[in-house]
Amino acid sequence: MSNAHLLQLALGFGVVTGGIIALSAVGLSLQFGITNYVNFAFGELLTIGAYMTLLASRWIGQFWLAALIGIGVTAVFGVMINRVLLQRFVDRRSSTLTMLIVTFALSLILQSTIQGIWGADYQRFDVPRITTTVNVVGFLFTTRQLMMLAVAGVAMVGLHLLLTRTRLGRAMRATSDNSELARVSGIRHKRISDWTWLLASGLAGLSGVFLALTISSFTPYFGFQALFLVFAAVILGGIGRPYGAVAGAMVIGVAIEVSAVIVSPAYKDAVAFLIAIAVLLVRPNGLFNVRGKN
Amino acid sequence: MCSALLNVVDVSKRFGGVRAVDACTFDVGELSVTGLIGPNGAGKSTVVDLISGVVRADGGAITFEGTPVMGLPTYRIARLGVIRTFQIAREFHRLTVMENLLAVPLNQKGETLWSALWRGRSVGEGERANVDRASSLLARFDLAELANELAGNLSGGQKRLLELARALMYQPRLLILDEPLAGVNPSLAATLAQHIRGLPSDGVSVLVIEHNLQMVEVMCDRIVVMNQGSVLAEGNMAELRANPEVVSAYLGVA
Amino acid sequence: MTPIVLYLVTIAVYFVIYNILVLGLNIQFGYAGLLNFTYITFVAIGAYLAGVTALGRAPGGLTQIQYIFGLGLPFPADLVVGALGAGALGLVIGFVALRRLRSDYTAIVMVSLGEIVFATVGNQTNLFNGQTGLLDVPQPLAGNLNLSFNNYQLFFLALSTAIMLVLWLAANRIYHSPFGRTLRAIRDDEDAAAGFGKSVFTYKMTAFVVGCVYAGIGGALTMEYLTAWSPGAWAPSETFIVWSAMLVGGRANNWGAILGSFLVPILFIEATRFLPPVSGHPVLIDSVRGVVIGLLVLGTLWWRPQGLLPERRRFIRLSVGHREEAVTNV
Repeated sequence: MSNAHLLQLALGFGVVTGGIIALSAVGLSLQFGITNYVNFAFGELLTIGAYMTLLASRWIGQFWLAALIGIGVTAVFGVMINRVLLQRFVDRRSSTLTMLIVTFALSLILQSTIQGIWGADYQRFDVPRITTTVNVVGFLFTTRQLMMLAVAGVAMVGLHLLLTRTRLGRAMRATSDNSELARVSGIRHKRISDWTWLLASGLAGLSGVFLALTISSFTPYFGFQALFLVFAAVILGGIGRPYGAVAGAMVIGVAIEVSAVIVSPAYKDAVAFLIAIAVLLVRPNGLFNVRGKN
Repeated sequence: MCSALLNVVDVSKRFGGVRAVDACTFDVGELSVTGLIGPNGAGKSTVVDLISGVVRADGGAITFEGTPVMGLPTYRIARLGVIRTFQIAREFHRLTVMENLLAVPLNQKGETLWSALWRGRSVGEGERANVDRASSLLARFDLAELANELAGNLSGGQKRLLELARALMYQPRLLILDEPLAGVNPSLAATLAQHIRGLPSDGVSVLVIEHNLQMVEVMCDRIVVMNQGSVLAEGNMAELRANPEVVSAYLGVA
Repeated sequence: MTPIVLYLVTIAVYFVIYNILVLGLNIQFGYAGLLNFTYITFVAIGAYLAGVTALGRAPGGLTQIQYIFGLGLPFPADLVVGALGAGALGLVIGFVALRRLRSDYTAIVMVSLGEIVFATVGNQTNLFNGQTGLLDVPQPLAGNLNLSFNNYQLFFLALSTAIMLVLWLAANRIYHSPFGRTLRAIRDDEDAAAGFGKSVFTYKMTAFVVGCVYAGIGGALTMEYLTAWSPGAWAPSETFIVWSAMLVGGRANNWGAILGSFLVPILFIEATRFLPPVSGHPVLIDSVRGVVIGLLVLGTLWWRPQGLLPERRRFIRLSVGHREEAVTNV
């Protein structure tokens, strides 16, 4: 295989990876928009998405139906996590520092619980291996990858429409920009909060299922490990800005897959991180961010 | 005629489409108390943010004792001798009142890691000297009883007093006070105003933003009126009351 | 020495080492308010560098064992190299993570840098022998003293306790100095501190590097005691054990650090070591531990965020002539 060919494959792979990360990055940005603290347990929502799908697929033969259930459960679970735990700390006016420790502790609890139930071994979804590839604009994709890209695309468009065309979406944006003002103008914070967590966690769950499919075997820690890529994407895009997050995710996705070919696959995450750090040093508010969220 | 300690010349700042400060020019004279008044949104707090380095100006020049300060980070401006207080009290909440004052002087003996570990005699001497000065400040501001109370546990009024005492502990050349009397009960406000009025005799020049015009009259030698980002007029209270522009823009409404 | 006594001596060594680790983290978080969620990275680097200083040249060749250095130097060179190396890594990571970044970014950047170090060490086998790690590291003064196995354990306990006491004294001295006070002021309100001319970045870096040096010493001692270290010892939950010890015991309180390092890593972890493994679920006990430690932290943050032994208030007498009525000390 020529280098150019490898690169071409890598670029295609990068687009797919970027798309998967984009789902999570948007979710994280949405959630950050209303909470104003970074959620270290977000990666676990990806893991839960994959494991809930695994569980559902043991009862239901149809994988995609199981995935739907798994993602739905994850979405609701995210809302529960906020209601039962995180919001309570926030209501007590806990400092950002405290919230970071709380989410880190939560991450450990969730990882350990999954590890306790399923064990630390690699799991796989019971899906056939796809080898047929399709040539799109010179890049090679498997049908499954194309499907994932399509779903991701639809999800992004759907989210955009939701945020711009619906009352809920406008309320979410208002709350994200200035929650005090939003509250005063009659927007019920609790309701918006629940919907935002639902959407963000659902996106995370979807992203987790796709990621698990892509890497084909996963452990209880794979979400936590992916979290750094998501962080890198969100940093590039500017924290709290969903559209920037998509752009950041695509950059990260392509960069890591290309670097895997040029340098070594072992350092994929390191590359993502170094890019993000470089950006942070130069532009502390992210590349695409004009007005940083304070 | 006192030379100007602080020169603000033609300074501007936009936030998005809004011109918060627009070609603003005024001085603060040495050993004076200058008031900065104006309706809400006139740009007073933004000007103070620009002077203290919290925000970067778009244009103009700010000089302190001849040194240009635009673009310098806050801690460097502070080291030149400019201290600024905030509208919300920013005490070091898990330090005691006394520790709040002791924390403030620059370059204390024992403030580096090395000197902290290998403490020589000069560290103890420096501490005692600072404790002396802090004690007299606390007594002056009636905070002596609270010296060993955690600063975070103080009432709002007490925190204001602490903020002032702590700023003076630094021995600034210019003290900028951002609405020091806001939300303070009248008798405490009168006390604070007297304290502020007496600062020039300690060698401290003052720029104070305040809405309470009665107190402004008590405290200030000179008053600068801002409106819509620039300076509308300057002078003493009598002159300003006689100025029809000032009256219609601000005093009449107040 | 009966097995029980030997076991207790081993526990005591772990206790002493955890003290050192918690003291270091306390300087970073309790004194200066820095969030270091990758503390274990510095412990590991300290351990590795101590190892490659004490070991002779890497045999390489057929054994396939590779690592850098291999100086074969005696104690205390390995301890010094481990401490300084961890401090140097702290300089690098701190320089990137502690600049004008909001605390969320700092936390993210630090964990990620830690993950990068972890990946590099695991993959670059020529550094510290990759996934296998280092083995058979010579112990301090083992050759010179010629002690029996049991007596050597006691010797090591005494040695590490002495080191811990020195570090404890240093930590206290730092706390009760103007330097410590400035760190605490920065912790409470760094913008206000900057407003009084403090160079916040320098202070944060200093506190961070000092904490990393403590971590490195703890790591070096661990390596000297266990004579081995590999990436398997680096789980993020290890960082969390140190964090929970500090939070439960009491932040910004060095007695709290001692109490915490007794309650969490020693009492809790060791007590669960005796639970019989459940067949078919090899990681079950580990998982339960993880959950309980996480809950412990959440519970502490909810019900007693200051920890069991809260930060002690510093009582200072006013100068004569300025004292009002007697002030009570709480």
